[in-house]
Amino acid sequence: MKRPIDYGMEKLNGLMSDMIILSEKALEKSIEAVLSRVDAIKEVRKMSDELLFMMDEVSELAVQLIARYQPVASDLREIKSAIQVSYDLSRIGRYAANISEIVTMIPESDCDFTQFKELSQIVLEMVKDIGKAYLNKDLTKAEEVKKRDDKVDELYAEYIKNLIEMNGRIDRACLLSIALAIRYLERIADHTCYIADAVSYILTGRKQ
Amino acid sequence: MSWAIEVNNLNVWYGDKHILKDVTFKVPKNIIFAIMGPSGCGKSTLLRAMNRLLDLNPYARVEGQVKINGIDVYSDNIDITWVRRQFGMVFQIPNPFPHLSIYENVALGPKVNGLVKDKSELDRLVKRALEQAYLWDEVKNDLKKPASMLSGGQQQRLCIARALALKPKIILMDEPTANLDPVASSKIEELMLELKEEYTIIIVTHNPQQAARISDYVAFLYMGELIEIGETSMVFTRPKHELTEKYVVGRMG
Repeated sequence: MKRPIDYGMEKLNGLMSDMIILSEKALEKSIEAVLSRVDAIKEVRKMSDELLFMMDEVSELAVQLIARYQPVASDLREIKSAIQVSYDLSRIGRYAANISEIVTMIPESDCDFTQFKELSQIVLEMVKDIGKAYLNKDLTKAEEVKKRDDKVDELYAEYIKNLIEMNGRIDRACLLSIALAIRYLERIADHTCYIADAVSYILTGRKQ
Repeated sequence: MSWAIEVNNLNVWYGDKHILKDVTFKVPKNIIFAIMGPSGCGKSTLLRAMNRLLDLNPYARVEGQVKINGIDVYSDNIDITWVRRQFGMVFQIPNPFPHLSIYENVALGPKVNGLVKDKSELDRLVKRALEQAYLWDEVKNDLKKPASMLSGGQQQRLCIARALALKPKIILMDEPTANLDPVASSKIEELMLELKEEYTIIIVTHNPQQAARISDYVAFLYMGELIEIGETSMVFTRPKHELTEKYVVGRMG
């Protein structure tokens, strides 16, 4: 039998699921835009704005659930986490918009985005997998995603070091656009870790 | 640490029926300790085992210890009157003596027990008890009127004043707000928070939200067994036992 709060929890999960789908889409679109040098700024910004709006909807609903049902234990942990994770997802959307904006900075001449491509594939998979882990409350998957962040940090440090070494030898605008783009990816990966922590908190009451 | 009450391996049977099974816990002083659990889990029995009110039930059999100030209330040669005097008790349905005046309801206990020397001392004690129960201002001009003229919430606070007049160490409350409206209930809850400065309060409630609001520690009882005990803030955010989780989120049964 469903408890009165379950109807609200279903609505909350529906919103979270929509946010997860949209944040993945925004990131995918922005990566594609950079790699094929296509202007998708308007489109990705729109998704980012929508994610912000949905984040407000999540907190509004969460406050209503708290006020009406006085949730405790796993219900309370899930509601608290939804507020936090909706913020992480909105940040992913925002970074995606930032990535799409880089297209306007990239010089017409040769600018090698191979490193960005490599990192973006790892980070996009992390975003997709953490979304699934959150919706399915899958702690093993969440922990596994979090482990991949070490690789991201390692690659990021290595690429930045390479860029510094290449200073003077490549176009400054090219260098900056690559540095910014991989920086945004690295931040997105961090947010997937925060979501992994939230999955752990929902299931065990503890962060990993 | 000195404890207000220590319960060790307490077992209670009603005839053949095993009501409380090996219940063990300790209650620190000056806190509100809530015992929650579904109907029939044994919470009221546990309360009645503490002050030996179960003695009045000819079918009840008790084994184990209940220690107050280190003294087991079930030890041989214990003075039952002393035991009962350690506890004040408040029940689900307010039960003042309806035909006695408000004053007499509070004064009777101290008079019968010889706690006061004269009328003026008794007056002071009654006033103090009514003040402590947050009832004085509402009844100070009606002390001679019968208790039955009071509202349900006022009657319950009168029962608390009556319990306080006997200067107990521990106040046992068995669903004290179950028959009150929300306003009267919240007055009782506020009162409990004030009283814990001086007393230890043990409350039985079938309302987990009430336990969450007012208690410092909470015990969850299920089918006569103590499933979980802990700080209220922990039990309502991270219960350790699956049954506790089910009960507090309302998924039980």
